[in-house]
Order: sequence, then structure tokens, then C-alpha cells
Amino acid sequence: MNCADWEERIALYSSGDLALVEVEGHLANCPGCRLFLEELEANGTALAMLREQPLIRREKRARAVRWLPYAAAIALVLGAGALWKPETVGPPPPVRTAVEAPRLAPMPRPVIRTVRRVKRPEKHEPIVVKMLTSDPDVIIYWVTD
Amino acid sequence: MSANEAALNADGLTLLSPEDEGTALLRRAKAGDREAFEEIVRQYEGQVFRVALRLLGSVEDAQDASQETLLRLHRHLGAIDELQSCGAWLYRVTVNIANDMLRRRRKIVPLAEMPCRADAEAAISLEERRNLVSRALLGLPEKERAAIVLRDIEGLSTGEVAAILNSSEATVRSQISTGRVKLKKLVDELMRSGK
Repeated sequence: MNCADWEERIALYSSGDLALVEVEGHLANCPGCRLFLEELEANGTALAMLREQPLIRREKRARAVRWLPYAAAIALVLGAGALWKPETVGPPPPVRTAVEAPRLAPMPRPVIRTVRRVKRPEKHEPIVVKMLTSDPDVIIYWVTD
Repeated sequence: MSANEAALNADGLTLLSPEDEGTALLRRAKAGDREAFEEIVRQYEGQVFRVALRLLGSVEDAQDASQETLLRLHRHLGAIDELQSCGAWLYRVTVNIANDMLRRRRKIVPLAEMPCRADAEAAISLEERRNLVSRALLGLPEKERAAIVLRDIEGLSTGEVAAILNSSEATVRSQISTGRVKLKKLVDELMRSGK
């Protein structure tokens, strides 16, 4: 059994997954495999450190990305809501322009007509005044309403 | 403290054990409480992202995998019995999604293209070794990589890893031992080729 045959056993032994007296016996007599074990243990320590490696910034990005579709959808709805102005609700916004407004002729004053009610006299028979003159052929009639 | 041993604090409020709090949180989330679901996400998003990053080797891919994993959590929340099993469920889903992405995208960066500043002749610092190991991980076959990530980075037992990967302990033990040996050789290769 050469050293290559021991490698996988040493790999398990390095983390305590395998406790074999045979492995320890070989290690005691093989400097190369002891070095192999030391490097495996160093790799194991480095792997364990990966768990503790700060990922705060990345986690924040991951979170941002996760909610991005929802945020995008909300923004879309809000944006569409801001753009949509129903014509029947509220007056249109004032239009501001640098163009001088044309001078319009003054509007004619409106003619105000007042109707005065006149009390009409009640209808009755006209008054007829017959006036006789010195000439028998001339008779004057004065008729009033 | 179990539910039966729940005590009252000074304000007369019931003190819940972590298990009870988890159960209550999960129940609220299942009932549609968005805040409860977000609390669960906060508890597990670090784990999900970390594993996805080690399996995929890219922040962008890890973000995609994390998002997909947490969406599946929301979709399958009803199938989870207790919050304690949520972590194992998320490990399994994260590994599955990452493996699917690897097969679909084939975006692993070849080792030859990886920058490496370690000097093969000099002893490397732990910080440098951590950098090398994280890059070398991407050179492992996906099953061995998943086993190493769960066992050596996440610190799970061989039995837990086997349950998550839906495999036997013997198979996982073999994947771990083979993976560690390959990883060491990849690290050595990086050290030799690095400038």
C-alpha cells in the first residue's frame, strides 16, 4: 500500500470522520503523509473560515435583487397612476408658455334690460263727450279711453 | 423550555421557547403573514446565499439561485412542518437549484483563468489559502463540491449532508474524502501556476 492509497483515508481522518489506528500508524512513519495531513487541515480551516466570511454587502444586494421585481412593479403602477389623469376629474393644469398672449378686444358690456311693469288701467267703456257748436251742422265728439 | 413549561415574565407575558417561537412564526407565515415570512427569510438568507456562492462561484448566479430558492420556500411553505427543518429543506433546494444552473449555464470559470497571487515557494497565509480554496472549490465535480460545502463550510454532520443530498452516508463519506483530496491538488496547482 503506497501513500496515494492512504490519501482518502487521511482526508477523512483529518476531520475526525475516520479514526483508524492504521492511519495513525502510517502517519507516524511517513513524513510525506504527515505534510499531506497538515495541508488538508489547513484547507479545512480555510473552508471553515469561508462560512464566517462577511457577506453583508452581498446579502444586501441579494435582498435588493430579490425584491426588485416587486419594487419595479410598484413603481410601474405608481408611475402609471401619476401619468393617468382622468379627463372628467378636476380642471386641466394651467399651461405655462413664454409666448405672449394675444391682446383681445374688450368684451362688449352686456346690455342689461330691466322690464318695468306698468300697471295698466282696467278696461272700461270709452268716454264719449259730445260737444255742440253754434253751427247746427257741426258736432264735435271727444272720445277718450 | 417546552410549551408546557412556558413561564410568565414580569409583564405577565408568556415567554416562548425558541422552538415555540419558530412554530408560531411558521404558522403565521403559512397563514399569509408577510412580515412573518420576511422574518424567516432574514433568518435563512445568509445560509442560502453562502451555499449558492460556494457552489456557483459567482455573486450574480448566487443571487439568482438565492432568489429562486426563497421563492420556492414561499411556494412550498405548507410542506414544511417546523421551522427547525426549514434549514435542511433550504440546503437541499439551494443545492438542487445551483446544480441545475451549473448544468444549464456551464459558467464555471476555468482554473487557468483564475487570478492567483500565491507564491508556490513561500508559505501562504491563511487568508491566501482561503482565497485559493474558494477558487479551487469550483474545480470540483458538483456532487463532491456540494458535499464539501455542506460538510466543511456549513459544518453539518455526514448524516445531515446525506439526508440533504438524498444519498447514503457511505456515498457522502466517499464524496467528501475524494473531494478533499482533489481540492488539495487543485490548491497545489493554483499555487504552482499563480504569479
